[in-house]
Amino acid sequence: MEAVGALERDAQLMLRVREGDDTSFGLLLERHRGPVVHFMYRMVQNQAVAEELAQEVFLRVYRSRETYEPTAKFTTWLFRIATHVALNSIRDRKKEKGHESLSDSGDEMLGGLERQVADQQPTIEQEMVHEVKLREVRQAIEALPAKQRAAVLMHKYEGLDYTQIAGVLSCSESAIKSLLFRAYEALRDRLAHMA
Amino acid sequence: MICPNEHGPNKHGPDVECAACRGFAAVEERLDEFAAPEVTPGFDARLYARIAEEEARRPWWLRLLWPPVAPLAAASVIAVALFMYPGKPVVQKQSSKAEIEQVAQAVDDLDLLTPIDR
Repeated sequence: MEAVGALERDAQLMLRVREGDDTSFGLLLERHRGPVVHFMYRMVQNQAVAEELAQEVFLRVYRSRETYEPTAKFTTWLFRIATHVALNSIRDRKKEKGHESLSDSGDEMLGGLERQVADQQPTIEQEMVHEVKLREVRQAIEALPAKQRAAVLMHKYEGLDYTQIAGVLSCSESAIKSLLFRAYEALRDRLAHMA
Repeated sequence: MICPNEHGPNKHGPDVECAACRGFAAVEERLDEFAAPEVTPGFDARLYARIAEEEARRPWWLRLLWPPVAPLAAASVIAVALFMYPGKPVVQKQSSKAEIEQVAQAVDDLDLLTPIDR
């Protein structure tokens, strides 16, 4: 019931933004900034790029305020924009010749080791094992086709249900279930040795 | 939980899962390790700067149309003007009624002036 109320509040806030109320846009930003940035981060695996793309999402939300109609849940609409921006970014970066992975997992590993030396907890070996496992999870997700990746991230980390994900990706619920099943199978196969 | 058989523990009992469920549960555990860092403090400020930059580039006439201040103001002026000038047709009716009465009175006066023996 609380979740339903929150969704209705989002639509109401966006309608107020349509009427020129910028304070309501600030409230929506406060509520959805984190989830959108985190979604982008797991999609492109680079913090700076993720925040830039997330800003593009909110810029498009603000730009669309005059024609906004609550025909779908606000979260569905928001993540439709976010997925579109993310997929475009991934496609554009793939086209660049000599493209290297944007993943900043190497920096994180170094950062982890630096923290380890400073704090001495947990042990260096444990930290290294954790970093290796994390890198493998990141690589497994990065290896998924972009749409499967987006569906997994929305399902696993952002709590969207099948109906919402179907609305975001403009396909049927059964197609989403099939997409997610294939994605989880692929992840299971890649990560099996970690079990 | 993703399961190709589309059932959960309830069908088998509270502690029993199918092999597919167990496999995907292990994947979910691994995915839990993929934490996302916090949003940097300047995020909102940078966003609002981009919005302000974009708004500044909008044509001036488009900025007048949104928020819809100018159209609403124009509609208000027109409504007030119509309200201020409702009476001209009524005044015309009153004038014509007065004119008719005057003519009728004039006819009566002429009758009075006419010799009786005609």
